[in-house]
Amino acid sequence: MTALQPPSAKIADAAPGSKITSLDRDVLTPEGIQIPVQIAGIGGRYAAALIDVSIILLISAGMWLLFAFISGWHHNAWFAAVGWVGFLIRVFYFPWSELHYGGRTPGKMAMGLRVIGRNGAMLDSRSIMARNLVREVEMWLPLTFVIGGAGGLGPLGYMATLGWIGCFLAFPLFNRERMRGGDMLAGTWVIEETKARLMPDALNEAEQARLARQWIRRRQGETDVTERLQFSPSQLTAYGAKELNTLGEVLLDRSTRAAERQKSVAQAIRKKIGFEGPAMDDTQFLQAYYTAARAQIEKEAQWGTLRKDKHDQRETKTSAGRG
Amino acid sequence: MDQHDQAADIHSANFRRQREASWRRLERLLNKVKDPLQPMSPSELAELPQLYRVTLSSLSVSRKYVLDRRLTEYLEALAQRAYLEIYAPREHLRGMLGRTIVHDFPRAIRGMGAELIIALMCLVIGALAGRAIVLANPDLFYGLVSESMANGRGPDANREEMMASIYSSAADPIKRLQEFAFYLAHNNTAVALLAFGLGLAFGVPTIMLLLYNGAILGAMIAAFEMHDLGVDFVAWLSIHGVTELTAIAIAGAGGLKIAHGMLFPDGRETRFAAAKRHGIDAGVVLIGAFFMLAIAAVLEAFARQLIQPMEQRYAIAALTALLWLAYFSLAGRSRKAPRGTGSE
Repeated sequence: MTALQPPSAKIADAAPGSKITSLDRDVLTPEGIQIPVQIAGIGGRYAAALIDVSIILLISAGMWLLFAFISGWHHNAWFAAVGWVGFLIRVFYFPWSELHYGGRTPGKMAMGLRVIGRNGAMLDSRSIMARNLVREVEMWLPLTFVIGGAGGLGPLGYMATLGWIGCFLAFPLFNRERMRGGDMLAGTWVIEETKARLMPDALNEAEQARLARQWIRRRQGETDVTERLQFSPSQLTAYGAKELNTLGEVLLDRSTRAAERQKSVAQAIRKKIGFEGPAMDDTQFLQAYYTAARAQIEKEAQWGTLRKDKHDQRETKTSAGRG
Repeated sequence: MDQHDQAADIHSANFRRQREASWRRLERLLNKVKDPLQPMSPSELAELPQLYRVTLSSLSVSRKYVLDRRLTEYLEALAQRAYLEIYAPREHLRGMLGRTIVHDFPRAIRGMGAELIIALMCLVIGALAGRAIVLANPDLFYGLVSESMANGRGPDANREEMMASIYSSAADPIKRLQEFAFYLAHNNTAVALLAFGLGLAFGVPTIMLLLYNGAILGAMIAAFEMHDLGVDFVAWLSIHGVTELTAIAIAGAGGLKIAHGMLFPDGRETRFAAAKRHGIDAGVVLIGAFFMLAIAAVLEAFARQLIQPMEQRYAIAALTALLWLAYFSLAGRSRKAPRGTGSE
């Protein structure tokens, strides 16, 4: 992450102890933009692994039954086929699906996870092979070793092998990027994909409402009270982006508590800016204030950055100063 | 200026109005990518990178100038999805494996000459030591070689049994398949453990394991020597042994390389970056070692029982040695580009 690129919103806004979690990272795309990603939590990864292992077992069991059926339950052939097919399925399931599905296996898809290169680098096929072959060492081979009777090494060998598996299973707990041994060697991360949902714009709503009122009033031959509203620039910059975003959410709130929230917010704002205009509906007031304040702050942003919050003390630009 | 004229002027509202259609389109296309039932047309595929760039520039603008935080978050999530799809790996497994075996593996081996020599020396020293120990004190054989591996052979077995283990042939093809499956599983256990897990532990266990494997080998040779079957045993072993032992040495060398990289990272890299670089190379080595062991397993299960005379066995062993030597020294070398225009 170079200092020259603006970081993503989450990381930029982070105050100590704020909503940025220890699992958030920024990734620099080749085009030079920072995109936030979220490292997958342990629970999700174990769950995905469990699903994948179950799928492998199911497929293997299916093939075993097929072979046994074809060979007429002939013991020797069945045993040999079992060994072979199971081995191939186990070794190639993960690399094949991670290559085919762009860093995902069915288990990962179910949990919304994905493998990417460290720091967002492109995931290359050799990384995929490396990270999966290590799993052979971490888990599969010791597991078959244990199931096969620990090669005559007795209870000590048994315990040692279980300890080995346990260590590697716990490996992700001990590094911040939650990397398995395989991830560390292959230079990969596993992230949780973010869902993209476009929310309605509070501004849009406010504007629609105003236009609707305007139309009604004009038909009645009156003017809308909000059209006589004037806020001074310093009133509009009493707050910053943070507070206005909250206000936007309040305006879009459709729950039963909405009216109550709007009332208390309107009260607070009127008090803070020392509002002395005409009395009006809380919602109308808030919509008018939101629209005007947003316009003001975004205009100022063109000469600097967005005003962050109410503590962001800087000179307020008046209309006279604009070119 | 009238407050309401200001409002109508709000850039972010215009910005969103203008761009929203593109973002929605990108979303729809991304959904199509995942859906196997709706294949994408070439023009749609060509649209993706373009829409992606539009989204990225929207994201840039949104971060700096748009107050609506949730719009920025939406664009970040959308950009993330598009980025992951566009930059996903596009290779097939078979292509990748082919390339690794023909190209990357021999090159990786050529790059770890020192580690390979150390690994081979460990095996040889271990073998010599094991042999010397058992010849001096035959009882120690049973301490070195486990029962399942000895399988009835050893200094105390009688000569007929020992001979039978080298020169009998199991005619049943099913049994050979069984043996094949067993050998493969057994081999790969040892090798993979060597190559990686121990490399992560800074290499010391790798060396120990190589020495130990060598010692077991030496002990077995000694046991057969004591029955005057030493030379026969080595012949029996070397049909697949040349391949298998080389693979084990290679895997051990891979582990040592990781260890070396982690112990002495280049000043410019962190240990993580060093581990990654060596890890990918070692991954290539592991694929190659698996591939070699598969071949060794075929030789072990089939050729070993089919070819009985000692001289032929040595001949086959020598042939495999030569073939591997040729492969490792010659494969994957790029041809020199023709001089002249210099265009790639």
